[in-house]
Amino acid sequence: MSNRIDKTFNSLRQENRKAFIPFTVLGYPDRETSLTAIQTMIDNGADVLELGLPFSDPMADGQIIESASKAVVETGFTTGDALELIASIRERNKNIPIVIMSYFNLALARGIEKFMKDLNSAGADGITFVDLPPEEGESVFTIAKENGIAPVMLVSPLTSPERLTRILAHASGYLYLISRAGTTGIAEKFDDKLSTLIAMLRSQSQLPVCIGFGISKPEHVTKMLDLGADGVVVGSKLVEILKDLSLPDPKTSDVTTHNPNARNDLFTAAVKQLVQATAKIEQCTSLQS
Amino acid sequence: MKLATKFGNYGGTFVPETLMPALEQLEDSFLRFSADTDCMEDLSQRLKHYAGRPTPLYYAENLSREWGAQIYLKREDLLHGGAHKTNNALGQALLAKFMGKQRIIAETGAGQHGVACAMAGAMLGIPVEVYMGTVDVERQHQNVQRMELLGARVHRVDIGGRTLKDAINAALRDWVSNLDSTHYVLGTAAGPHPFPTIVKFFQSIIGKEAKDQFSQMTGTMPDEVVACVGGGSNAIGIFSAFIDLPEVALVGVEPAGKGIESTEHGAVLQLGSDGCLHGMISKVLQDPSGQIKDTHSIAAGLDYPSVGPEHAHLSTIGRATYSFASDVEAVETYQEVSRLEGIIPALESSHALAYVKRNGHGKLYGKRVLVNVSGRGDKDLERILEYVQQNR
Repeated sequence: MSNRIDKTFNSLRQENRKAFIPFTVLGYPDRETSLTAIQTMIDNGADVLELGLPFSDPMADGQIIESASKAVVETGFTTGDALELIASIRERNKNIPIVIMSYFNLALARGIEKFMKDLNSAGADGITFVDLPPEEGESVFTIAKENGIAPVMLVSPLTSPERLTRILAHASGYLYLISRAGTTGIAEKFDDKLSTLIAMLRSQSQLPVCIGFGISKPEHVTKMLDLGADGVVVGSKLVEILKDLSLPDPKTSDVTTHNPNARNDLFTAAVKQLVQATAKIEQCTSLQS
Repeated sequence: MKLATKFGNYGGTFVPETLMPALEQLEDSFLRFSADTDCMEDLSQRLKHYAGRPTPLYYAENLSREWGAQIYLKREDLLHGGAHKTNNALGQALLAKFMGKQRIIAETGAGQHGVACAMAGAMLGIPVEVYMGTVDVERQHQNVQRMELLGARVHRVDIGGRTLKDAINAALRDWVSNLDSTHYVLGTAAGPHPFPTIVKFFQSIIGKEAKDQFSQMTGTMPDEVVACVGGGSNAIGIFSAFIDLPEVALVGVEPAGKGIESTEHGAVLQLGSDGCLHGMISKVLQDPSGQIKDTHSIAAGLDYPSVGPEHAHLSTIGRATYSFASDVEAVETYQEVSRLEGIIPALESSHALAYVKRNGHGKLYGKRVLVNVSGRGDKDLERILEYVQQNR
């Protein structure tokens, strides 16, 4: 139900806070670790979750998310597995909005209507298709809305006013403003027209504006919020930290001599790192209030 | 968009929002470029004096005697660079210049499109960077050396199946990050609109020439036109002149790899289903969840899990039919055509020829068959010798 998204942004607005939106790839580096990582994000201040359905050919993603997605796909992870993970996150967390990031083919393969219904039953609130512009997506976005899934639309620094009108005709929940022309990843440079863009979005839409792509450091977060964003999405940076947490592969490592304590230590250390990164950014978002 | 973006239900612009303005700009520039008589004259002069068009049509007497059909070969293997890819690379490089772009990127499978772009870039003074999967770099390393000799930079793509699909992903990522300076010269009639239309436009010269030549040589039309299909650019190029002639059968030949009953093939139109990859809806080899499958073909240029949207459309409406040839058949045909006719066809083109060989004494017996020899096979020699040794 998209009202979880609306409720969240309404209360953030009332508290004069900004949204911290972590992203990770569902099932990465393995199901158990993925769930723990997501819960860690929630427990440490995530306001909205963006969860990626792993796709074999994620052309809009940079190397970090691409590798993570492929690694998950190679384990035989299916959309059904992703739905189970979403459901178990929802079971433990009644209020946090969950927005799914996906490539269009995964919805097409499942059947658009079934895909949306299943997302809704699992407890998701929104969907972003990375490769479905309004020209191609009209009927898909309608089906999403009919099934209680908000189309969270992407706006790029290159989007013209004419295109923006087309995008806004479908947009719901919040707008996802891409920070620069490029792929997801860890960046140092952002488009210098961002504040103009935010102003353009504000003049045409009531929806909250969240910025993502390349945001990896607390100072990036501060910068985006200074520019007037209602929230920030941090993805690649978190996925990168998760990289070393996968369970040992019995095929490639010697399980009998594998030390479970060593793995736990590694896990704990990385989770702490993750919490720290999350908390740092949360601190920045809170400082704005 | 001003032009139709789809062929029936296939095609479209399924790309990230950031790419949409670039595709709109590309379509707009292409429309102005293709309507500009000076630009078209420039292209035509370069195709003639630089690339060596028209390429000959050759009646293959020995093959015809041996195989049973009357076999006519459209000799794109004689085009500068060694394959039909030069038609499109030259056209799009001129288009890039027309748009004021300072850099060209390309993907390549067999390396022929990369070589063609490197040549065009060298001639026009535009830096070229080519993405190529590491599996293809290894099996077509001669073409890597040619690209580098011609001044292009070759990026080795070491993820996924490490072939054409992965090279396209990498090129798209580069493009979306460098839209102001860069034109992406997509090498096949696939990808988001307007690429399938642009590539068809530049490759349709194959069909136009072949139709005229065939008519002059025989006073009639072929019974069947045959071409190999990976992404499908050489096939759509030669088919284009015959699509409106219902009496001419059109046959595309896909790679059956180690057999279509195996999991190692690239027979997309035989066994694929509707899906969305690389910005288009087309036939795709995918698992039930929609994850794209890895493909296999001994011919790097056919090793692709989807196909140009117009082929998906032609197949659906029944205007063209699609058959297949295996690695073994392609290798045997490669050797046989070399010995019988003194022409070494590319492993890709050998698939089209293998289909004719298989059916020459059957349904094609005595029929006039026009085959597009899309490229020459020198690049494959080492690989063939290796294959023969391993499978002896």
